[in-house]
Amino acid sequence: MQLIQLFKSGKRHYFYPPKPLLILKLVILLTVICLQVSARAVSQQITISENNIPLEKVFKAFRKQTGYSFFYRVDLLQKAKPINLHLTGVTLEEALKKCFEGQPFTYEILNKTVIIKPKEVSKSDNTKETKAAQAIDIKGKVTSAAGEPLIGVTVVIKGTTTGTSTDVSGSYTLNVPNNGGTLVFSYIGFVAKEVAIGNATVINVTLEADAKALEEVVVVGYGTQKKSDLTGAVTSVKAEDLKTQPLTSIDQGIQGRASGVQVTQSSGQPGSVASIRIRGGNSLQGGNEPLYVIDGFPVYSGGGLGTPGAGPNLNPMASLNPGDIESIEILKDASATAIYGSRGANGVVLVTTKSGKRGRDMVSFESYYGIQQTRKTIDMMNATQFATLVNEAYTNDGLAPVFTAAEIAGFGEGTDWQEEIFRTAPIQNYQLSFSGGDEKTTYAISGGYFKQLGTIINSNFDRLNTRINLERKSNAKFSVGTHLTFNRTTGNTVRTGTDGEVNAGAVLGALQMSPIQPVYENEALGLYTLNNNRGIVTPNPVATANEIINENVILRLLGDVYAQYEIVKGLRLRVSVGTDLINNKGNNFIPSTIAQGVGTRGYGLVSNTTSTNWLNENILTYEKKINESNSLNLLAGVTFQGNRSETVSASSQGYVTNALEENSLQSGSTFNAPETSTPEWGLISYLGRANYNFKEKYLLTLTGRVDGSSRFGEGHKYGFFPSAAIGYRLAEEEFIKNLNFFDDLKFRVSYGITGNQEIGQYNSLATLTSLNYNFGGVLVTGFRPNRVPNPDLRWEKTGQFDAGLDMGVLNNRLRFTFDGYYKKTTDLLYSSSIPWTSGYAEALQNIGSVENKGLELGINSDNFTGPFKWTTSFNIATNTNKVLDLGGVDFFYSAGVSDHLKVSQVTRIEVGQAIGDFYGYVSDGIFQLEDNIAQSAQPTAKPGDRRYKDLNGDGRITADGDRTVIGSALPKFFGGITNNFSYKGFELNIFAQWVSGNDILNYNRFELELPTGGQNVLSDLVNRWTPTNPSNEYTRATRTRTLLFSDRQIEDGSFLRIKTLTLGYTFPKLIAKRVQGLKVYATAQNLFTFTKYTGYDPEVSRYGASNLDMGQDYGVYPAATSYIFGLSFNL
Amino acid sequence: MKKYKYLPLIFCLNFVSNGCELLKEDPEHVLVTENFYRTQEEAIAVVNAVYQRLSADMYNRFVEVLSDLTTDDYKNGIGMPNPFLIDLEYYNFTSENTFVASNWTQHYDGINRANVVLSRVPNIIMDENLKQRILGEAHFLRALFYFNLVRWFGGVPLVTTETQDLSNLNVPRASLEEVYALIIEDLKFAETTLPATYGSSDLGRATKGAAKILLGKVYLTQKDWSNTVQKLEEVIKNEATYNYDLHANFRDNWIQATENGKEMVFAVQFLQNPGQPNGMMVLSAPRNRVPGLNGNEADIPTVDLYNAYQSGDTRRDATLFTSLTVNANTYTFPHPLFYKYYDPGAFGVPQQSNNNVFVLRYSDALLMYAEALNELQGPTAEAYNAINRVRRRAFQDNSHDLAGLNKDTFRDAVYKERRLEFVLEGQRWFDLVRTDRLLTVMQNHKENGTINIKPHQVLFPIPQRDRDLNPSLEQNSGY
Repeated sequence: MQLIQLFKSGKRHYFYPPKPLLILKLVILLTVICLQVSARAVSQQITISENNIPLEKVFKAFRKQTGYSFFYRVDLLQKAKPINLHLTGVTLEEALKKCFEGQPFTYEILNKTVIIKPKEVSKSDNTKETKAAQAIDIKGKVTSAAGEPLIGVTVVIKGTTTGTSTDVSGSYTLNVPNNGGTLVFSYIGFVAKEVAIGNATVINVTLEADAKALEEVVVVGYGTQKKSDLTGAVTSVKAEDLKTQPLTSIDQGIQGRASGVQVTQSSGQPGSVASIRIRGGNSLQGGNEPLYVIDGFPVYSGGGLGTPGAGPNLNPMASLNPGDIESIEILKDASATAIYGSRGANGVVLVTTKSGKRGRDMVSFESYYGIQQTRKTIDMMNATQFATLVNEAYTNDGLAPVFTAAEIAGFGEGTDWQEEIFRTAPIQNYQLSFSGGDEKTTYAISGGYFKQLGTIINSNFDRLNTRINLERKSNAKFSVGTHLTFNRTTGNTVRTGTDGEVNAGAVLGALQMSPIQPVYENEALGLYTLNNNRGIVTPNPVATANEIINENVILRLLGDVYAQYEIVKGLRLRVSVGTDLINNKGNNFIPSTIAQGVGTRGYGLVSNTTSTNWLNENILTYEKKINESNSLNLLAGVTFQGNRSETVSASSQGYVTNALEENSLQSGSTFNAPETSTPEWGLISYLGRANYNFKEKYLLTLTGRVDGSSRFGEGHKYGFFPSAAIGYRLAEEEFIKNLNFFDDLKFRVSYGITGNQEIGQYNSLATLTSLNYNFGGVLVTGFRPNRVPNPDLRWEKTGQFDAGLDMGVLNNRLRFTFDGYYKKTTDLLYSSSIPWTSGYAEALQNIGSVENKGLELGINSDNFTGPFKWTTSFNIATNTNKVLDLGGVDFFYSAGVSDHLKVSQVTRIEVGQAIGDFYGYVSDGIFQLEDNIAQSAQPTAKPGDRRYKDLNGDGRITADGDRTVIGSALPKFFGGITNNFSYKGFELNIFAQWVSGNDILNYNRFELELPTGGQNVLSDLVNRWTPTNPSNEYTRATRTRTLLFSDRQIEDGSFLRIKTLTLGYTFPKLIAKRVQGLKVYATAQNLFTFTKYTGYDPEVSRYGASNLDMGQDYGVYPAATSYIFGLSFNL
Repeated sequence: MKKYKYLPLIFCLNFVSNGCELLKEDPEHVLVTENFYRTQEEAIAVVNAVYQRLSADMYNRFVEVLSDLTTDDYKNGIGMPNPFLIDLEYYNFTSENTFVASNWTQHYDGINRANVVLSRVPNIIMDENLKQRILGEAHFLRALFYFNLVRWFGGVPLVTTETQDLSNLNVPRASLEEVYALIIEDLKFAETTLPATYGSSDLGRATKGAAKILLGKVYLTQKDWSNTVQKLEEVIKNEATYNYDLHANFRDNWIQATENGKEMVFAVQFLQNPGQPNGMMVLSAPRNRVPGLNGNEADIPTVDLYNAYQSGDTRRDATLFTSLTVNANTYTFPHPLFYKYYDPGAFGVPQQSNNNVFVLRYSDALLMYAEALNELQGPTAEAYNAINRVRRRAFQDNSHDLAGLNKDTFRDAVYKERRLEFVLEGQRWFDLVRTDRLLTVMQNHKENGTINIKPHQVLFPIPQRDRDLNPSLEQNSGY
C-alpha cells in the first residue's frame, strides 16, 4: 500500500488516493499544520535560481510562490535526480516542464493542485528497448554473511528506476535489458553492493553488515544512543545474557549482571519482592528502589504490593513476563538519570521488550520444567533431646521435671516440623511467540504460562501473559505503534517473615514448635495441634501454611500507543499515550480450626485495589549533522502522568462453618468496619537534552527536567533537575592511535542532580483520620487530625558526580568499564520526632544528608573466539554509605523491632555511620562456676548465663553505655562473574554472584539458642552449659527468657553463589528443515552457595526493601535450589 | 523553524487546565482541615475522637500498669516477660521506660484532641446548648488527662492550644499550681455546661456529676478537705438528680447489662469488634489452664491482695478467681488471677471482651466523702454512713458495718476499703502517693522479692525522648 504525501493548500486539504491510515496521520498532522496556516500573496510567476536542488524542495518553493498544492508518492520522488534550475518570472507550467526534463515523471494540474505521476511513456520506452535489445530475466539470492536470506533487499539497475526487492527466501527476479549494466543491492544495516551484470543470468550476492550501523546501540531515557556516544554510566543486559537463567521476574535479570547494582531477593516466596540498590541507598524512608521504565512507561515498584494477610510483599515486576525482554539498561549516574528528574535518584532500569524484525515470520517456542528444593534445613533437637532439655530447665528452676524417663524414651525422633512444611516443588514455563515484519510493519506477539509452586506447602505463583508489540511505518516520515501487555498472576503467600509468638509464621513455627507434639491431635477429623505448649505460643506451622488463604489475583494491562512524525528532516515528534492498569484482588481467610482463627472464630477478608496510571508524553527530537566535525542531537518534551488508586476492603469474622472461606463474608457473625480509599498523585514534567559531538572525539550531554509533583507542599511543587556530562574519546586521538594498543578509550565525567518523590500522598496537608468509639454499646465515629501540616515539604535531592573510563584492547576482545562516583543526598525526607507534648510523635520533614561513594569495575572478555568460544564477563563494586547530618540530632533508632522479642531497637542511624549499622551489646562468653559474678557487671547472673562486656566500665550493663555498633548490613564488595563456553552447538554457562563484608542479624538465633524448654532449639544445644559441661557457647537451661541483642545474633553474611549453571546443546540445522535453533538445556540455580551464614540462606531481608532495617532474618521463607530442563526452537 | 514556534502552545492549550488539576492535592478519601469543622455532626465527631483516646490504649492497661502494677496489688505473671514491666514492678524504671513514655504520649495526644475541640468547635454555627455541652466534655477530658499527668510527673508542660504547625513545640514545664489551676478551671467549666444524665445512646459521655466528683478528687488530692466535702455533697446530697446509687451486687458493675448503670460516674467504653475491645481480659486470663481460654496470664494479682479480703466480702470473688468451671469441669489455678475484667461472653475469644473500665464509680465518691469528712471533722455519722454503704454492699448485710473508730483508725479503714474496692481501676498508686504511704507500703511488700523503691519515685521520670528533643524540659529529681 502506498501513501501519498500531503501538503496543505490554504484552508483546504486534499488527499489522493484516500487511504484509511491517513486518518491517523491527520490527527497528528493537524496539530502541526494548523500552525503553518498563514495568508500569503500568491502569483503565477515563478522565479528560482538554485543548483543541485531536490525536486521536493523545488515543489515547496513553487507552492510558496503560486499557492498551488503538490501531491506525489514519496517513493517516486526519491527516484528523482536533483536539478539545476534558473528561472525568472515563468509560468508554473513552464517551470514544471523544466523540472521534469529527463525525469521519470509527468504531471497533471487539477484545480490548483499539481499531481505528480510516473511517466507512462517509460513503459513504452521499455518495450522499444526490448525490441531493440532482448530483455532477459536475472535471478539470484541475497544472503547475509551468516548465510541467512535477506528479505526486502532493494535491487535496481544502476541509473534507472527499474528494480525489485527480494522475497521471503531472499530471492529476486529482475527483467533487465540485455545490454549489460550494473545491479545495485541495498539494504538497511548493510553495505550496499554493486555487481556488473555482464553475461550472467544468476547473480547471488552476500551483503556485509555495515559495521557502523551495527555498532551497539543502547537504550537511554527517551531514546537510544550509540554506545560509543554515551557520556553516562549505563550498563546494558541483553536478552542473550538472560536466556540461560530462568527468571520469575524482570528484576532478577539484573542480579549480579551490572556493577554497582545490588539485588537481594528478600524471600523465597514465589513472586515476592526483591530489594534493589543502585549505588547504595540514598534515602531513609523516601524509597530506595530504582524507577523502572518499561518500553517508556515509568513504573515505580517500590517495596512491593502488600498481601491481605501477613507475608512477604509481592513483586509488581513479577506480573510481567521476563521472556519478553529484549534488553535491560541500568542508568546509574546523573547524566543518564537526570532526564527522569524527581524519580531518578535511585537509578533507573529501562526495560525494552522484544519487537518484530523485518524479515521472515518467526514462531518461537520456549519451555522449561524443573524442581526446586530448600537449600538446607537447620538441625533442630529431636523429641528425646528436647524433652531432656525441658526437664533440665524445670529442675534448674527448682521445679519438678515434666517428663518421666519412660516418656522421654518413648518420644523418639518426634515430629520433624521442617520436613512437614518443606517440599520439592515443580516450576514450569511455556512461551510461544510470533514475530516478523516487512518493510513497513513489524510485529511481535507472545503468550505464555508460568507456574511455580513454592518449597513451602501451599505457596504458589502463576502467570498468564500476553504481549503485542506492533509498529507500522506508514511512510518515511510517519509511523505508529503499540506495546501492549496483559497479564494475570495469582499467588498464594504463606505467612513467613512475621513477628514471633502468636504471630509466628510457618518457618519460625517449624523451627520453634516442640518436636514432641504431633501435627494433628486427630488427623482423621483434621484437628490440628493448635500451639506449641509449655512456652512460646507458636501456632502450628503446618496449619499456618495449609489453612490460611492469603491469595492475590492481579490483572495488569500495561501498554501505550504512539505516533511519530518527521516534521522536517531530522526533527521528529513522538506522541504517546499509555496506561498501566492494575487490579489486585486479595483474599484472606483464617479458619477457626487453627490457632490464629480461634480468637476470631474464623476471619475472612477481601480487598480490591484498582490502580489507574496514565501517561502522555510529547517528545521532539532533532538530529543535525552540522558539518563533518559537528553534530547535534536535541530533545525536548513535556509529559503528564497521573495515578489514581481505588481500594475497598471488607472483612467479617465469627463463622459457623469454614467451608465457604472468604467467599461469603455475609456468613460471618461480626462485621468489621469496611474500608475504602482513593489516593491520587500527578506529575507534570518538562524535559530537555542536548548531545553535542565534535569530531567524534568530544561529547557533551546536557539534560534538564522540571518536575511538578502533587506530593509536595504548596510552593515546593516544582523541582529542576539538571545534569552535565562530557566524554572524551581518546581512542580517536592520533597519539593514542599511534600506540596501536587501544581499540576504544573514552573518559567520561558527569555531574547532576536528581530527586526523590516517594513519600506517599497528602503528606504536606493537614489531614484528619476517622476512628470509632462507642457510647452505651453504640458505635460512633470520630475525627482527629493525624498530622501536623508541613507546607515546607520539598524534594529530596541527590547530587552525583561520576567519572568513568571505557577501554577496549586486543582488538576489542578485552573491554573495561571503570566508574567512580560520589553522591550526596540532601533535604532527606524523614518523619523526624517532635516532642510528644505536641500531641504528635513525628512530622515529615526535610532533614539531614547522606553520602554514598563507590567504585565499579566491569570487564568483558572474549577469551577464545574460534570454534571453541569462551567469554567472560565480570563485575565488582564497592559502595560506602555515611550519614552526614540528621537535622540536629546525633542519632535515632529505627523502628521495625520485633515486638515479641522485646529486644529494643537493633539499628541506629547515626551521624558519621552507615545506614544499616547494627547496634547492640557485645557478648563475652558464659559465666563459669569459678567466676566472681557478684563483682561483675551482672551481679544477679548465675553460672551458665551469658556475659556481656561492660563497655563504659561503670560496673553495670546498661542500654545507654554498653551498646555499640556491632555490624553492618551493607556489603563491602559485591558483584558477579559469567563464563560462557561454546563448542559445536554445546554451550556451558556459569554465572556466579557474590556479596562480601556484610552482616546479617539472625533473629532466629535469639530463640534457637535459648534453652528454656519453651520452644525447640538447635540440636547443637545438647552441648549447653551445665556444671559438668562448662560451655562457653550456649547458656544453661532455665525457663527464664533473657533476650539481649548482641553480636551473638550477628553473623557474617558474605557469600559466593553459583547462581546458575547451564549446559545446553543446539542442534545443527540439518536435523529438521523447518525447525531452526532447536536447543535443549539443563540449568541448576543456586547450586552451590559458599557462606559461613548458619541460617537458611544469606540472601535474606525480613523487612523487604526497607533501607533502615536491612539484612535481618527472622523466619524468612528460604531461597530454593532448582534444577530445570528446557527446550526452545523456532519455526 | 520559525513556523514551529507555536508548537509548545499546543501542549499548553491541551493540558494547562488539566495540568493545574494534576498537581493539586485534593484527597477524596482523606479529610483535610479545610473541608471540616463546619457542622454540628462534625463537632460531635471531633469530641468523640477525644474519648477514643481513652480506650486506645490509655485505660486499656497503660494507666493500670502505672497505677496498679507499681503497687502491692499486682505483679507480672508468666506471660510476656517484658523487661519494662518488670522494671516497673521492682521500681527499676528509668526515663526510657516505654510504658511511662506511652502514658505521657497518649495523654498529650488526648490533650491535643481536646484542644482541637476547644479551638474549632466555638466557630461552628450550631445549637448553642449542644456546643456548650461539647466544650464541657472537652474541658472535662482535658482536666482528666492533666490530672493523671500531674499526679504521675508533677508540673508538666501546659499545652492549651491545638498544635497546628511545627513552631513553638518546645514547651517548658509549668508549676504544680499552674497545672492544678487549669484542671480546676476546666472542671468548673464542665460542671456548669454538662448535663446530669444522657439518653441511652450517649451513655459514657462526661456528665455534670462526673465533673463534680472528679473535681472532688482533685481537691482531695490537694488535701483541700473542705472543698472536697463541699463539692461531693453537691452530688451525694442530690444523688437522685444524678441518678447515682450503688448496685446491689458489686459484680453488677462488670456485667454488660448493668455496667453503665447507676453506679457508673465515668467509664471508658469498650465494645468488641468492630469497636475497641478491652484487652485486659486476655492479659490477665489463665494461660494454658482452661481449654479454649487462651489467656496470657501476664498480669496477676498478689496473694497479699487476695488475703486482704475478709471472709464474706463478695468483692473478692468478683475481683479475683482461683478456678473456673467450664462445661461442668472445674479448672483450679495454682494462684489467684484477676477476674474483674473477665467477660464470660468472650470466652474463647478473650480479645473481644466488652467490659468497661471505670474512671470514677459512685462508691469512689462515697469513700472520698467519708475520707474528707473524717479529715475535716473526724468520723461523723455521715462519714460512717458513706463508708458503710460501700461495706454493706460488699458483705450483703450490715454485719460488717464500721463503728467506734477514731480519726486515725477511720482513716485507715477508708484506705483499706479503697484498696479492696478499686482493684485494677487505676487508683492504688495515686491513693498511696496522695496519702504519703507509697514508700512504706512498697518497702514492706516482699511477696515477689525486694522492691527497690527510692524516695524520689513518688514521681515518674519525664520520658527521655522528649527531654532530648526539648532541652527546656527538666527531669524530676533523682532520675
